[in-house]
Amino acid sequence: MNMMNIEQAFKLPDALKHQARSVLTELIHQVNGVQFIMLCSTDGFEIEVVSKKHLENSGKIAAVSSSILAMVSAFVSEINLVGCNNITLNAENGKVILSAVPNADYPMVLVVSTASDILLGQMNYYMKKAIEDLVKLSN
Amino acid sequence: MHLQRYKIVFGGTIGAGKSAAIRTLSDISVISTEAVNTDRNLSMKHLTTVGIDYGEIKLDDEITIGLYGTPGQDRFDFMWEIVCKGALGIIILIDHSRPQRLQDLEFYLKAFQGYSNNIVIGITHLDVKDDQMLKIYRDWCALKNLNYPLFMVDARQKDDVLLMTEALIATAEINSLCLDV
Repeated sequence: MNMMNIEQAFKLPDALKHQARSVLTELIHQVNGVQFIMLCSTDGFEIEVVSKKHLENSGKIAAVSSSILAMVSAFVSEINLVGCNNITLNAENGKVILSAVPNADYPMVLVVSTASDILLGQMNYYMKKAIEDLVKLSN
Repeated sequence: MHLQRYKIVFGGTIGAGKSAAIRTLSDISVISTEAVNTDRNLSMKHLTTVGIDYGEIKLDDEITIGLYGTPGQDRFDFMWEIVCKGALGIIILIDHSRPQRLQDLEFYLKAFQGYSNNIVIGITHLDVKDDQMLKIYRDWCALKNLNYPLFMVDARQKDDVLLMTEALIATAEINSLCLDV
């Protein structure tokens, strides 16, 4: 593997990014009340975002999301729980769901920001399907 | 017996050995938050810390030190402020093998000076332990009128990491004595 290949080896290729964006676009239209969806790498880089509002700080959101998921995973592991792949944060004016995307080649984090009156069961159902699609992305 | 607990933070360049230093020193199994590093332009290491590392070392029966590692990349700078709250001091590790090592030192000093004035600098990734190699850092610190303890360290060597930790504690003790006078 040459230097160029090594540098690119862990980044999602453009063709797969395009497929990932389709998955996110479908998800944002499947459930009412979703404000934005972001896919980022587990080391905190934004990969794709679809949004109904302008996001100025998407880079920061990607970094914080990856930190939160990693911290919660460490905490969960420390108290001997297994299989915790997502976190739901409830705020007064909305919810955020963070979920691991355990793609074997490109581990990622899915961030979904929603209104507070979202149908959570419906959201979780479609998110699970989206994650299954994202896990299948491969070269 | 009065048990004292202190907190020391490790900051500095990605790949400088922050996680390794904590693993080397810790008496307990280290909690880590590593993810696959996709930025191979910045560092060739496979995994990188994205949250915190946490370890502990017991210096004697009465003193336990919590060892907190931070991510090196500046996009994670929000973690630095959170982790540094209440810290006894900060150990900044600089990767000597990077051409921009002095800029790195300036960047991390500027970033962490706001959280503590008790700082120790460790220079890592030196192929040969030659005190002359620290001259560029000493000269730079003198030029900037900075007077921080400076060590060349191998983050995998317990004695090296312990030396920095003890220097940090000694400085904190001196500072507290000065305040008492």
